[in-house]
Amino acid sequence: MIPTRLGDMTHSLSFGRHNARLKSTLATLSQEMTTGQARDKVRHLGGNVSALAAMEKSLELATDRKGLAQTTAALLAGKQSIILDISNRTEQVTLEAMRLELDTDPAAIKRTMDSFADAFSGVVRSLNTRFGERTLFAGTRGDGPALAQPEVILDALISGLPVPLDPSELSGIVEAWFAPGSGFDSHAYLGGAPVPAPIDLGHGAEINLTVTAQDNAVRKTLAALATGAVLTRELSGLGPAEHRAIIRQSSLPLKSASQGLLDLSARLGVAEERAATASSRAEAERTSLSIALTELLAVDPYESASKLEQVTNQLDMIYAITARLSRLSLADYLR
Amino acid sequence: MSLSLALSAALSGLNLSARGARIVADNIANAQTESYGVRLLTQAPRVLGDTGSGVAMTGVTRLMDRGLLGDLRQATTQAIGDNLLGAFWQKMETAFGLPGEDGSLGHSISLLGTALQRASLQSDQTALLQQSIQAASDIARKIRGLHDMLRAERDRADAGIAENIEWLNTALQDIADLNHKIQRQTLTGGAPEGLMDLRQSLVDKVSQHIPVQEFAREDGRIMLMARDGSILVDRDAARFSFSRSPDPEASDRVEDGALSRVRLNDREIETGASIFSDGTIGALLRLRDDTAPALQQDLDFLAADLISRFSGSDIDQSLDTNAFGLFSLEGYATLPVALTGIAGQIAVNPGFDSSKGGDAWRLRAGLNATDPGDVLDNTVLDRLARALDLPTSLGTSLAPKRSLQGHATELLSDIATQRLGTDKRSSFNTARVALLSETLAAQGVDTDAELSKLLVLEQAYNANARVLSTIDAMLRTILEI
Repeated sequence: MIPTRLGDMTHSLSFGRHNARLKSTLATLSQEMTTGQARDKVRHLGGNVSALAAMEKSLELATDRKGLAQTTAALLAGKQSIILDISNRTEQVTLEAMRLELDTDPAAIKRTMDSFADAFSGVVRSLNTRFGERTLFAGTRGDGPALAQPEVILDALISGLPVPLDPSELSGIVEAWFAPGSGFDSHAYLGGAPVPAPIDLGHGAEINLTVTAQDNAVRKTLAALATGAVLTRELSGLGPAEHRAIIRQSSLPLKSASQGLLDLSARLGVAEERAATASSRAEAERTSLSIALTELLAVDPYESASKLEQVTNQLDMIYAITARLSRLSLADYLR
Repeated sequence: MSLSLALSAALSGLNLSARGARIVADNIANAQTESYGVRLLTQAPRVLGDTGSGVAMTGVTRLMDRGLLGDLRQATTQAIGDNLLGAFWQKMETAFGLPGEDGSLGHSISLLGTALQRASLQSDQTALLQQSIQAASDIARKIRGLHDMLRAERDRADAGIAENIEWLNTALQDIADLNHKIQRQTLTGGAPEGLMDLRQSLVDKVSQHIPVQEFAREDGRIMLMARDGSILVDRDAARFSFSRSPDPEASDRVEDGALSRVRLNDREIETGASIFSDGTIGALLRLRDDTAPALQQDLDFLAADLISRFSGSDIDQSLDTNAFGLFSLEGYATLPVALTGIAGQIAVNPGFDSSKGGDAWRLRAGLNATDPGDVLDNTVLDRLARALDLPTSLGTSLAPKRSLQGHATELLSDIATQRLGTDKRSSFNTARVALLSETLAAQGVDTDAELSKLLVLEQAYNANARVLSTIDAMLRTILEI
């Protein structure tokens, strides 16, 4: 039978459905247009969030590494400036020692001895410098000093000297005292072992902050300076002539100590450079990852805008049709 | 004599017009009613003892396309059941959070990694140690929250089943009552159409909960059959029973009797039976017994992986083998063999938590260390930071090895895929339901058609009335002779 009837509810159901669908599309499109990103991110990625997760993790790491690299660079710079200070003092003392080649004046000898003593104290105090809350050269025991007070060190050193003392052996004995496993480690060094774990700055770049006051360059420097400093303590059997001889002989260990400090400074410099490279690489990584992330979730704004236009037009038409059809009722015409 | 016959014929015509007008009024009044079948008046020439005179109403037909109605019910059952599961997956996906979103599980794991690295560089800073502990505590809290949410969902599913079963029983009983009434009306020649409308709307609501098929019986009765062939309503209504198990634990399963199955007439219905293959009850049962426990297991494996990464003496030499490290389980000393439900107990080891009498420096020195040790000794912290990225397998040893972040992302991907799947199915279902309901609605009341019918009826009434007055005049003429 040919249907002669079309139910009233058909229109309202159908238009209601279209209206709801278009309005929800409208909401999605307007959000996508304003943020430039897909509203339903998971659907945009097709249910596989591993790419998004990997990128987010890398971004987080890159941001963190930049901070780590900056802190590391600051610590290294701090160490570097201390080494520079020690180096300067050593050089100054070396010059003064060399002047005694030509001078035999007891006053000059006394002055030089005092310079040695001042330089020794200066170096010890310098090695105890704190950067914020940590003593840079104290290894794992960063909350305390790296070295005991200069006077205490000299006292310990003197108590270890044999009596009577042979002036030609003084240099050797002092060097042995500062060598690993001897009096320096037991009485003078108050810090801990070198910091065990390196800092991972990404892409295989690992930076060690392992230089402590037990480093060989530091030992040699302290030994050379202590040899002269100890002379100010009125050792028995040593007069001005012996003092002069000892000081003249210390120019070789002093020069070797300066060389050692230069090497140490170079090592620190290399580490600093690697930290700086890691920092800039982390920054670059961060920028490119942010861009990649945005692109991963991006929705073409032109497409969104044109779809939005289309949807608004369709909604307009639905409203117009609904209004028109509501007027088409036989009941109105039968009045 | 023929005049009186003419009179009776005209009267029958008037009668029919009046009834027709009533039908039209009924139809127009119910133009917006759902489950309303358009009434149609059927007429035929009146036959009295082999001769015909006038018109008789042979009955009122209630128009309803049974096939279309059955299809619509089936589509609705499927749509509603799928929507329920879809809502669950959406909720879980939102709770997990997308990578990079603040508060998401993945983001919390990243934060722990970066906090540990920062602490490793400056292990003398108590603030950095506490930040790491806080980050760990956030992860534990997130996992506990997900566990609690799953538990609440299972509880809600159980409550929903109980509620729906109760409603179902009442509805089936009502349908059986309506069957009786309709039969009585039909046999005594009354007007059962209104009751039929009521019964149809009840069966529509029943079909949301359980897939049903309707068969017409004699005298206007119907029989309702479930998908597995069980008869729900014939002369009497079947009875479902279900006992509620409030607040089920993660380890409570229907297999070991901790949760109850639905019974039909005291016969237990097996899990996965076709009677509940669609509809809300089926969806809730699947959620409670299948979907949520599977997700629970995945979550428990993730929690176990998190705990075992940091346990034992590999990282922290002050710990015994298999003793808890950074993460622990409340009420346990080591990881139990049965992992069900551990996600609800995971917490930061109280030895590190200063609010529970622990110390932050133990993160650097070791949980059972006797003293804070050297402040810049970052051995343990470095191992902790690397532990997060160690590739491990979840559950069985055949599973692929991933970092912790990898496992969390994998779980999120599973959930996301399920959600997208239910979304797709849902849009298909919605379209199908919309199409069928529009087609059914197209067979509904058309007010324009009814009004034009009314016009015709009015005309017929006028004509019959005219006939009556003419016959009256004729009779008077005869009587005036």
